[in-house]
Amino acid sequence: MNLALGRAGVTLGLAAAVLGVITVGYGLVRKRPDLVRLSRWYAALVFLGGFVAAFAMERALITRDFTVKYVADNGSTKTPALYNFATMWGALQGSIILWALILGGYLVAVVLKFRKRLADPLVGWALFTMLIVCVFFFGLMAGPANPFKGFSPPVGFDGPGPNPLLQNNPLMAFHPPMLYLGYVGFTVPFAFAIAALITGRVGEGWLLATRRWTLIAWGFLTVGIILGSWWSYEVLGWGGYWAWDPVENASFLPWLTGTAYLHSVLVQERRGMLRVWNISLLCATFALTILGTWITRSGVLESVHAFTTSSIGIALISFFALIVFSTVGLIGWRGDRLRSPGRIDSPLSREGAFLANNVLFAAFAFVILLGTLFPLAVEALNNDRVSVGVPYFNRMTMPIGLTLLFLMAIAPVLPWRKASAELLRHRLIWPAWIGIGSMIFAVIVGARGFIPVLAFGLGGFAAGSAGRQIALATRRQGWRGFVGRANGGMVVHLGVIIIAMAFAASTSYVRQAEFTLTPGQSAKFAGHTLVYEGQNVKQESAKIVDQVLIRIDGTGPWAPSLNKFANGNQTIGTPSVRSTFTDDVALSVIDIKDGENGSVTIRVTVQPLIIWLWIGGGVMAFGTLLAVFPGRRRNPLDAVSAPLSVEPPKKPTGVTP
Amino acid sequence: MTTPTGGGTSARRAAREASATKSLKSAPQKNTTTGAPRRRDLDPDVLIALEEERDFLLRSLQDLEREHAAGDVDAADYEELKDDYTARAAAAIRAIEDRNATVKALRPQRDWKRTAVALVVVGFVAVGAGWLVFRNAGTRAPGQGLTGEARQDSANLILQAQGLTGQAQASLKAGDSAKALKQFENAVQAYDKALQLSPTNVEAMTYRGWVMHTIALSSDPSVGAQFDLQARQYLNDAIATDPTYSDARVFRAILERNAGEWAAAKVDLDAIDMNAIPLYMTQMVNGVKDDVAARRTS
Repeated sequence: MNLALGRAGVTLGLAAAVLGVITVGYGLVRKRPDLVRLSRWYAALVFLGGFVAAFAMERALITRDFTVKYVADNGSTKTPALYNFATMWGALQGSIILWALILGGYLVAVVLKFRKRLADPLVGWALFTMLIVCVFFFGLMAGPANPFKGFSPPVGFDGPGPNPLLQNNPLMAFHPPMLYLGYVGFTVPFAFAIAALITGRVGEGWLLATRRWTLIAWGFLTVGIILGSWWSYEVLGWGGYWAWDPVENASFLPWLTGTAYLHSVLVQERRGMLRVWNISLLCATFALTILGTWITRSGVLESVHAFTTSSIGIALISFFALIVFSTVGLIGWRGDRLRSPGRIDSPLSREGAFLANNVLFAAFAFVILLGTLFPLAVEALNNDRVSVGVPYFNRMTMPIGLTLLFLMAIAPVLPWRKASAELLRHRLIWPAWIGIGSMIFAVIVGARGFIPVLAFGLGGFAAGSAGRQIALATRRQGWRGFVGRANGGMVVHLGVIIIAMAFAASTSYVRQAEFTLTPGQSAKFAGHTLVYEGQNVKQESAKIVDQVLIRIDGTGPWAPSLNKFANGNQTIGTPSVRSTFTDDVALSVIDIKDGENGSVTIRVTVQPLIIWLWIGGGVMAFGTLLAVFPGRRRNPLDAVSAPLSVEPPKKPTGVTP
Repeated sequence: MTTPTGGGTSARRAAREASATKSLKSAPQKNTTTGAPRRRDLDPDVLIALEEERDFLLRSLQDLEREHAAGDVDAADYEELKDDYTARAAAAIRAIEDRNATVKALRPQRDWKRTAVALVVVGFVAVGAGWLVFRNAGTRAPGQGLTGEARQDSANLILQAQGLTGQAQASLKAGDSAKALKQFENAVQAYDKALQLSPTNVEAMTYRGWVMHTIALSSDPSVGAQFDLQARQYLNDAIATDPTYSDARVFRAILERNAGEWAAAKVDLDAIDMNAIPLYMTQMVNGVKDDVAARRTS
């Protein structure tokens, strides 16, 4: 039943997408609006196909239908309900169902939003592009990543359940969907960018139509990345939250290019500049989501040669190549129209700052992409297995991050076109004092080292600048001073600054040690006293939990544990974290020695300001919500200062009088 | 076709109706105060609309010619419509040319000096990043990822170091001593990290010492002696921390044998619990025992 239902869903989605591409494409080429309008039905059918496939998979997981191979490989009767539900996105094939479902959802949302403009070629080509993406993902499900393969379970069969790491914290139920809502959400602005290139309407119209979609996708991706870091911190037990591993880098790359786009698009809206750059950024963002999926899902992490043996790897990299080549081709074709009249008048202007910001974000993305792909290239070329360590990423990204903080302080107070030194002095004096105050405060409370103290200073400077903008906006507009893209953006800036401060503190002042303790024994570390009280063993449905009870500074007991899963005989540690606003004490169990006076070896990691990472993430999400709400009504194409001043051409060439 | 305003094909009717509004866009408007073209008029979307209007009117003219040839339009209507379409198509074409000329005039000259500087900067960043990534790339230890690294606990670091030592020995066998040295260095770093986390970890101390001795064996004798001294220090520390740890005793006995310290070697050999060591180590111990016994008898 579930197999048949799932296969029906995949077939329906694939057929609707293929027919949609043919019909809408034909309608657009032959200028038949009646055919183009049929896209709404195809969109609904694609979504229905994705929904049916997801429903069938969830039903199979919940009913433990082991005739579905995916359930036999990843499900278990012992898996608790929440993790059982989340198993759908715990492995490759199921995650493609989630991708297709979300893509179908976005497709329907676009059709509903633009229901009165379906015959508009811009919207038509955008839907055509989205339908092509649907063909690819439903095609994956019909072929190399088929989640509805059959299996004949022997009597009494029970599956191994999902990877134990995926059933150790409820965050796993939310992190992938958020990430996918972000990844897939970028399909919408990408599709409109392609439509703009095809129709030649490369002005600002398509930007206005998609800017809220881009913000929403970016917001989801932000939340997804923050949740992923939080999950890493709460589950993996290594005392950190960001290790620059390829999976993290894969999610961070589109975030960087997406963030660059959100800034540079303002320059195009206001000044008509950076058209090629903006389209390139959007296409790069979408392409990087596919590249990221290839990196994480093709088996290339095991060996660069592994992906060639899996058809999913070849399919993903081919789709990535298609996106890159078609985008470059289209941009080349429309190159002349994309060139902007005018140029940036002064580097000391809002657009100058945005350009600098974009250069930095592009460099940031390049550095990470290079570091991530370098080991693959080396292995492919001479079979050497190398690893690019954390120092490379830290050395390269730290100066970029600090410069971005500085720009975050300067850019919001800069006017468009040009600024005078007098104006800058007037607008930056208080933020600068706040920055200096932050540095002094940081030194007083014990911060040492040039880089972290500088980071605190720049953070204070940037926070002062963002606070000033919010204060001015609320004074002028009341509560509306918090909403709208510019004002919400300042709240997002505050979130980024909080995260930057927490990152600087937690990475600069981390302290870590291991202790072997017997019951009743205590240890002092980094100003904290740990007392080991004893052990507690709990039997749960899917695992045996061996907890180590430890009091930290008299609070607790905190209970890091080793979990022995019934299926697979894997032992996974679960850390326990005591969080305060000043620091976190994270405990993880390394070893529990049997028969040796109950002694245990634990790892203790003390890091300052960790909780502010998650608070900062929340502020960013809230700021994105505020930015999505419409602010004061104003045509974004209207001039913001002086009209475009143009010298008459000295030698008129071909101008008809 | 009966009247110029109400008759003709549907395409021509639509063209007439549209002409009233579309022709308004026919030329770039000027800003009333500065005389500069308005930004909205330079929008590529407006140009596309003008091009569509031009194409539409040119198609209508072709239709008209066809209908006239077929006798579906009388001569008076034909002339009137042809003049109207031609005039409007010409206006659209002029407007397109005006816009293109204006855009061309407004477009800044390419500043080759600035382009060259930008290219040099981009090249510098790319080469610099490439060089740095090359410098920071190291042999991937067993279990290590492509990039980055989570902080390992001491047990994992020791495993990683042992893996790197194995790789280094394989490189030595293959005759690639430079690669082997790099791998040994990485192993030493991993042991140091383990000792930083857990300063009394005898396994890390012992095997760090043994790696130093292994490096000494493939080094110039004068440098090798320095490495052996360091190796001895780590082994001494390990035995001082846990005198029952056999691996440290075995390795120190080998170093003592190599240095001709037969009595000291015998003390360590006697302290080894033969049940607590793996088979390959048993063979090493027996070899050293034989050497010590042979020396004492001679």
